Amino acid sequence: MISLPVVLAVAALMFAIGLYGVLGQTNAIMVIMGVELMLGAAMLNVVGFLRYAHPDATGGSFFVLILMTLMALEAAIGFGLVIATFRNRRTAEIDDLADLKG
Amino acid sequence: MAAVLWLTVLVPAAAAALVAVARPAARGLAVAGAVAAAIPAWVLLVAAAEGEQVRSSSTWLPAGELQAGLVLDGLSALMSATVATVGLVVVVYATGYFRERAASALAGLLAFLAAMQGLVLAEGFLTLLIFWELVGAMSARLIAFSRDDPRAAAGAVRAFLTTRAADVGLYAAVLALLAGSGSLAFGTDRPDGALDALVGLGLVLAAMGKSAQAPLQTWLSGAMAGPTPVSALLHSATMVAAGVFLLVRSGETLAGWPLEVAGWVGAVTAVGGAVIALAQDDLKRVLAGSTTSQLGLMFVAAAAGGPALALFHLIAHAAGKATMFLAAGVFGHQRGGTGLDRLGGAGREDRTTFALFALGGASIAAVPPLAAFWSKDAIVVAAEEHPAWLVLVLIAAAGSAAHVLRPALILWRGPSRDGTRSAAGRRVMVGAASLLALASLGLGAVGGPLADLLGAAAPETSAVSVALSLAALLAGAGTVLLAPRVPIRLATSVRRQLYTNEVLRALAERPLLIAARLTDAFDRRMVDAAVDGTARGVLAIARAEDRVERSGIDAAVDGLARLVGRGGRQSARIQTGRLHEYLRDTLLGATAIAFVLVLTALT
Repeated sequence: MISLPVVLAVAALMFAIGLYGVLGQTNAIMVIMGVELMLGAAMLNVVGFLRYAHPDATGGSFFVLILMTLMALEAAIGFGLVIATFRNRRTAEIDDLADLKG
Repeated sequence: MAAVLWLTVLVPAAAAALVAVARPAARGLAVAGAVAAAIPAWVLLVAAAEGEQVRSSSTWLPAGELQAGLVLDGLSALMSATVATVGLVVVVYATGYFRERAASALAGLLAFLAAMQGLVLAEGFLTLLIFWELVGAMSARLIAFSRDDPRAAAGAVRAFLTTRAADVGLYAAVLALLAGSGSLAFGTDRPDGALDALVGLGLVLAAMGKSAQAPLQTWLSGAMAGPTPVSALLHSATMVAAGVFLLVRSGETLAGWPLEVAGWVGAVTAVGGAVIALAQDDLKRVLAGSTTSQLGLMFVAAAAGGPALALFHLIAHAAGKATMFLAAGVFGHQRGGTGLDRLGGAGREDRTTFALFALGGASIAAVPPLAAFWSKDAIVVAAEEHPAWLVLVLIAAAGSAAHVLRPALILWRGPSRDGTRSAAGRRVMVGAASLLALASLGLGAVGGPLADLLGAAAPETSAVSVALSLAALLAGAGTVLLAPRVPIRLATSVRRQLYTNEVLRALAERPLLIAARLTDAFDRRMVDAAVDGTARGVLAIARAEDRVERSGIDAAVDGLARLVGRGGRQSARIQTGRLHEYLRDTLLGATAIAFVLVLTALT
């Protein structure tokens, strides 16, 4: 049985890495990966708290399942967009995609 | 019988409406309407002769317990039958007289008949007042019938204004009676004090106005500019009779000094009217003057002899004078006008019409045994107790003989003129007129029954009075025959209506004009200035407002737009298009929200 603080620490680490990926990377794929990591960290938090607070309840796991579906969809759409952009512009660098500048 | 009462008023009114609408069939409809209107009136007379008395009224104004409605008694039935009969004859005559706009004229005549029936059948002073006004309005409309003739319009205005001015007396009297005695029934005793004078003088003044008594007689000759049937109906038999009717109908309300006043007015007018009639150069104006004079005699009759005598003369005069008017209308059609200079010899050419004219005229001039002889003779008898009146009545009798004879002589002897036209519709007109002429022959005998009907003293006659009457007749006729210039010269000096118009002008027109000028000045100086000032003020305010708008509101709007634009440009700077920065801002925002949430959760 892994204790709650360990779970939270791992989750925090994952979130931090994901945040770095979102803010620090210039490749769109890396940014999406960062978002996936942050979502994963959130999921880990949910599971950890569920196990800790309601060890016998299983209903809360459904939230996690929904989140996983959401992650899959988000990744599919995100990568789809990136691929479409790459085909049109031959680049996946987000700094080159500044057409919406005001 | 109550239904018949209302029918007497409503049938001619409905007929008038129908005739006005159904223009093509107007003539037939009008005659049918007049016959239908006469039937209930005659039914009323028969019922009244059998002693029936009906009152059909309802409360009109609950506040003052004011009643309005119609009444059947001897007096109202008699007047109603007279009005209906003369009205019927005149409507038949008018179907022949009017060539153009016949429907309009006939509808007007029928509407007038309805108003007049309402007046004579009125239950009290209130109802009488209503129909009194209607009669005045209808008469003005009829007088002004000839649209193209400015004299007709002027005559109508004069007639309307004069009678209206006198009507003020009726209003004053009715209000004073209501205030003082609390009742508007005929015969209510006059209240005491000042109201006594108001009631008495007001009623007499109203009667004087409608009956064209001196000094309000000028409207009648002006009204002769109207069509002849109108003159025959309004100005011989019905409308002018309303004044006499008012004197009689008021009964006890006028007893005493007001009747005395009316008698004096009548006696003076009888002479004045007779003289005026001598001076006129238009046949219809002669007849108008004669009517004024005869109405004066009726006033004397009402004052000295009572209601039966006044009505006796009224009916006798109505038949005779209406005949003369109708005959004058035929002559007028033939000669294209009723000026005496046009009519020379007209009677010689159309002897039937002249016979009618002469018959009516002889009755008016009091030639025995025609109707007006008996009534005038009875007036002489009644006036015997009042020597001054007697003298005036006899002078008037001589005058009427003279002024009837003068146009008759011109009609018979005068030089013929070329251009006599055969009047279209003459047969209808002469036929109608002869009915009335027959009435002039027969009506002399009705004095007694008439008094029975009214429950009043019967008109009397005496050898002395007959002698006096005949003497007056001969004097008048003889003067015209033997010394034709004397009455003319006498009359020419008073040609201008005894200068009544001038006096009236000085008394009424001048002050009115001065008042008008004063109000005009006031208008220019004060009201106009105020209006101009207001306009100027409004302009100044508008200019100031304009300035405020340019400098204030416009500036505010422009400034707002500029501000929004600047804000837009400023906020556009945030939108760099760099995903990094967006994400950074998202993170900062999320952190801030989390911070706030944590803080609130802690506290």
